[in-house]
Amino acid sequence: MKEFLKKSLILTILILFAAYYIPAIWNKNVWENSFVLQIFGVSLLICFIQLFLNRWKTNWYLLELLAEYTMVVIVVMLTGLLFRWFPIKELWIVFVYVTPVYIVGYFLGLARVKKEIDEINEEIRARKAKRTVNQMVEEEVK
Amino acid sequence: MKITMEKWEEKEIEVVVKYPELDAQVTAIVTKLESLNHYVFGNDNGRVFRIHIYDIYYIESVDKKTFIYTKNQVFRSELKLYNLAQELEPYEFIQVSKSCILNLNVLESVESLYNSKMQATLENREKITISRTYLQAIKSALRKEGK
Repeated sequence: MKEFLKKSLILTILILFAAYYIPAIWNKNVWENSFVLQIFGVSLLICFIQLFLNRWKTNWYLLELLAEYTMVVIVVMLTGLLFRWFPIKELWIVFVYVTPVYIVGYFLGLARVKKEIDEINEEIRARKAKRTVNQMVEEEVK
Repeated sequence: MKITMEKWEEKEIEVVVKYPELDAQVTAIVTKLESLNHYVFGNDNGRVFRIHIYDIYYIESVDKKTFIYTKNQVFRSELKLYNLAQELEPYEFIQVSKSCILNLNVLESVESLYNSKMQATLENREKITISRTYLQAIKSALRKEGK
């Protein structure tokens, strides 16, 4: 299922790129159709800053979350103004863009971590079972 | 795999590994054998101790000082954490946070805490914090060693 979704998502991105840029290159107006590239650039920038932000650890988890959320809002605000996604008088719209995406991303992240922890515990159980069997065999040999 | 044991007169044990092909299984056997002979040094109250690597539970760096934790003792090491991490990497030790390396053999379970941090419980019921960044590496190491 995961592989299927991943492949579908990659295909969607490729189609989106093709649908945007093949006609744009053909008509020589790439910059007029650069919205997808702008979104891609913003995502890259956010992930890049996150790399550094993740190194900063405190005992206050809420503070870390708030810092990350603020960083995303500031990046979207600045790039949004740069690319004219919204007028300067309507900056509140940034929160409407960012908040739902951030919440969904946060819960997806939690689900991924939970899945990884379950897998790790499963591996530990398997190792212990294997070790117990080996010990029993060793005792029998003795 | 055929195991032959033979008593001989020398003081030191000698292990000869005969193999048709140098594959992962042979390498694993050699690594295990080498680990039986592997010690690190740590000091406690000015006395230097030789610690067998399988007695080590985890190694932690606190304020640029390195501490080696066994089941119920703590030793100070003169080596840096990254040196020990490199040295012990072939013997089922893995980095679980920026300041800690753990012996996978003593790992009992991993759980997620309310604040999105992770905690590992060890065989002696001690709990250490692990970083989300290293989860994937821990999983891969367990899978690799489990084979």
